[in-house]
Amino acid sequence: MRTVLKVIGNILQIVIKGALLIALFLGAWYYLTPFFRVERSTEGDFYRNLPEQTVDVLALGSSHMQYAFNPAILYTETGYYSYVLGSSCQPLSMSASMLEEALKTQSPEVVVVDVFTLLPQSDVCYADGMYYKAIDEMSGCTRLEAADYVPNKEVGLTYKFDLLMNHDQWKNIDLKDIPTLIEKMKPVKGYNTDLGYVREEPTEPRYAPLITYQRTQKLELSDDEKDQIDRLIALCDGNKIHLMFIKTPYIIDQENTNKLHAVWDYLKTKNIEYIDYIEKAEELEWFIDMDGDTWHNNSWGAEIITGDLAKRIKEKGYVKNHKENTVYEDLLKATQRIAANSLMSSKNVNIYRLMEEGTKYPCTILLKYKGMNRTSIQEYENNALQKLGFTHDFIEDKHVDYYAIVRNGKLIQESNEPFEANIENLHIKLDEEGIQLNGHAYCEPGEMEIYFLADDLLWVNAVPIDYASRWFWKNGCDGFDCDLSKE
Amino acid sequence: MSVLSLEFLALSLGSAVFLWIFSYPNRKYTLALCNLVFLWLLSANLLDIAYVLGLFLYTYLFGLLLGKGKARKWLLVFIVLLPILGLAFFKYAGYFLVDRRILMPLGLSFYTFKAISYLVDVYKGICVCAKNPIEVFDYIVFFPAFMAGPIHRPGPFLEELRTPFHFEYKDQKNGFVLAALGLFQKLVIGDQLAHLMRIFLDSSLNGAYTLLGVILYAFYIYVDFDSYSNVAIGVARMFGFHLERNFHTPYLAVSIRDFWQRWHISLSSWLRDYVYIPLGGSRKGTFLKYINTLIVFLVSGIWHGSTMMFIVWGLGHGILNILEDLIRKLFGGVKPWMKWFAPLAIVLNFVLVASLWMFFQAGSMQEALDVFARIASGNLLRLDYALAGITKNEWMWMWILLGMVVFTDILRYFFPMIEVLSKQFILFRWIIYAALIIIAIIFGVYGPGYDPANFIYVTF
Repeated sequence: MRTVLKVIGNILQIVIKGALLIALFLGAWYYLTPFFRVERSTEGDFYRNLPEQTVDVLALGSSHMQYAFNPAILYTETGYYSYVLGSSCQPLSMSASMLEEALKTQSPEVVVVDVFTLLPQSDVCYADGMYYKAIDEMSGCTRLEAADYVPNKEVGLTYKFDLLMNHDQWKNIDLKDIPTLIEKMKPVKGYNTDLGYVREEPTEPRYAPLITYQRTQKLELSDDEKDQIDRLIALCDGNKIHLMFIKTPYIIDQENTNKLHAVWDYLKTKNIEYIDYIEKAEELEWFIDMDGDTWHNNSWGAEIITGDLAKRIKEKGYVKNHKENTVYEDLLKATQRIAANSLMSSKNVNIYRLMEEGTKYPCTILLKYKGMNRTSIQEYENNALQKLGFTHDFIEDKHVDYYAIVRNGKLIQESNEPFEANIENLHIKLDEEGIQLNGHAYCEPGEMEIYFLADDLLWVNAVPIDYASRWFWKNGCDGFDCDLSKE
Repeated sequence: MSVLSLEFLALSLGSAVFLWIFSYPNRKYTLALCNLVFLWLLSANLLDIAYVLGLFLYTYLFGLLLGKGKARKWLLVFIVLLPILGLAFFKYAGYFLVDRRILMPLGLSFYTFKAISYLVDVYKGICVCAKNPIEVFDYIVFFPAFMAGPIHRPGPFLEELRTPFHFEYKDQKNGFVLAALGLFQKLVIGDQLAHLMRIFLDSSLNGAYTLLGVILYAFYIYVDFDSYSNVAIGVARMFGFHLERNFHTPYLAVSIRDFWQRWHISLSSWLRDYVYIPLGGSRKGTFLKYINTLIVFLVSGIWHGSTMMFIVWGLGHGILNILEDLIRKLFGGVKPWMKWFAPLAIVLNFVLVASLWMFFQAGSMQEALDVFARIASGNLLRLDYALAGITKNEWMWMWILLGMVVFTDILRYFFPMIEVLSKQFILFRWIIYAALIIIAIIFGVYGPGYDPANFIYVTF
């Protein structure tokens, strides 16, 4: 009896000590893990910091989506709040996990997903750490579960227990870094100032159309690809979210066109909405100059894609429970300023777009108009100028000089004679010679000059128009590099 | 399957529990089952498995014959010759047949020597011949020591195998701690030293860098093999088997002879008992004693590998052994005053052993001599970690690791560490365990890009 009791006692000791040892190991692992995530992504923190239940539209996907969906544009067009949860090369499986993460704090009514990573061209970006970039933005169980979707199980295990790869950081940590590292363990405060959008600045206007292809082969999605789509559909269905798939425009080829059609075919069978912006590029006047680097939209491209999505979402009434939030409003107002800068800065010489954006974004517009009979201003241009806030009739009174300042849609001053004015610290002079800001002209003299300025005057886009040598008003080109006629 | 794999860990812990529960009245069959599972998990090719099983049957059957006590010595030599030829074939055939690569079955060198041990001990009556084949199977395929030893003797093993298994908490605890410390040695110290050793022995460096590389290699090979032995001995203890220690602070040896009494003890004692003594040992005059010494070290070199460099390494040790004997004679034996020079002797001995390791690790004589040429050609007083391409942290950690090995060896020299540790206050012990876990998690060499397969002695 004594021996039996002794053995039972020993076994109990082994069990308790074994459990304690395992707990010690797991605890050490758990608490050391964030300490070694030196290069961790803070995007997840930024998202979780958003005021809860405010996001109306959530965009998911790879860098194609990150560069094409600009929440500032959606806000400008609709007033809705949106966010882009993406990472480079983010596969659909990770987008689904990202949606799970997103739903912890938000209840979007619309989810838009880009399908680039289902296309063969995405093979080039299947590199080390591709899945981890997305997983690193997630938290709690989602982070662990997302790793299950990594096709290479060994790599998945490494991402799941990422101290496996991160513990080697000890080699580079200085003792002085330790307080910083402890600080880095904590969730980062603040927000992503672009709400997940990644901006690529336009470089030069180039009105070349996107080359598209007709389908030549009927392909099928693999079971795994279907599963990835199905998971997103199920998640959206379960949370009463309207799901839309898109393919943002980029330089595609025949093989990828065929595969893209296979994606659309599958979505048709599931009765899921999709928009092929490659096919729609011409209709939307999406030109090659809106493509940043053959794959990614620049800010002009993002304006077109997000603008079209905004129109669709508003028309269809997908967002029914938008609630105003002061934090989000402030965030979007700041983002809007950045968007305005990007869209209306000096690289943009497309006067039609500038006039349109001038009506949407906060800015100051200065006009010097020399009245002549050969201005080429037609009804469309006249309306556009008047929509900006100018009261002059450029057709009836085309021979009358006109000088004016419009600020944020309001006419500040106008005259048929030259005048000078002061706005904040800026001295503005409008006369027959042209426009000067603090004694400095920003463009060559033109018979007509339009200056677009940031409302805080941090940027200036001065467009000179010479009626004799330039054709703005006729064909929408800048007169230097024009190979596409605007009807 | 590596000793560092989860399979091995699971099999070891699972087998321990299995043996606790199902080992009444003895462990023969339960252990045999565990060993069979090990062979299955090993995923070796069928031929390798057939060879092990064939050798086990051979050993068992001829053991029965030799156990009758009427066999002649020539018969023993004949019987023992076949396993030796088998070992020689797998080990050296590739050396002669350039176009044909013959892969040596894992653990062959170790279990062949165990089979020979059994046959000779049965013949000599040192151990009782096994009537039950399972006993021989358990001895030959005892999985904790299968891949890289220790080459434990049949007598004590069979004795423990035949006695009823009594659950001893102390054995379980100390065995587990020893095995865990072995894993710690390997993952934290050994592999880090291996990484640094490769950097410092790179042919682009010279002088003090190469010298440091030589020192690192000496520590690396010691830690690597000692760690494996500790895992094997620890796991065996959890199964209720008390294997002799395989290393006893070898770099604190004051002479080459002392070194061999502390380094890979199971192999050197095997060579002493089954080669040196049967050859006549020191009983047939000084000249033959030296010849026998050279033969033993030659066998040791050949056993380690098929290249000429292993022979050079073995003979090097043999010659140093003889020189040491001559010096000893010159002084008329060991004198009490000599102990004052022990630290100097330890350093000198380490220099000799570490130098010979360069022949052991080199692919050719030129490669080995290049190491010494590089040491001589460079500045011996200049060491800059940045030039070696490592970070300041790695540099500091390297010295901490070397210090850790030296410090623990000094402690082990005087105290049985596991016993001492087990007698400490529980809180103190658990603080140590926690510290070791944290150190292993942070500084351990594991994760992507790390191949935990190669314990250096597994390849022998």
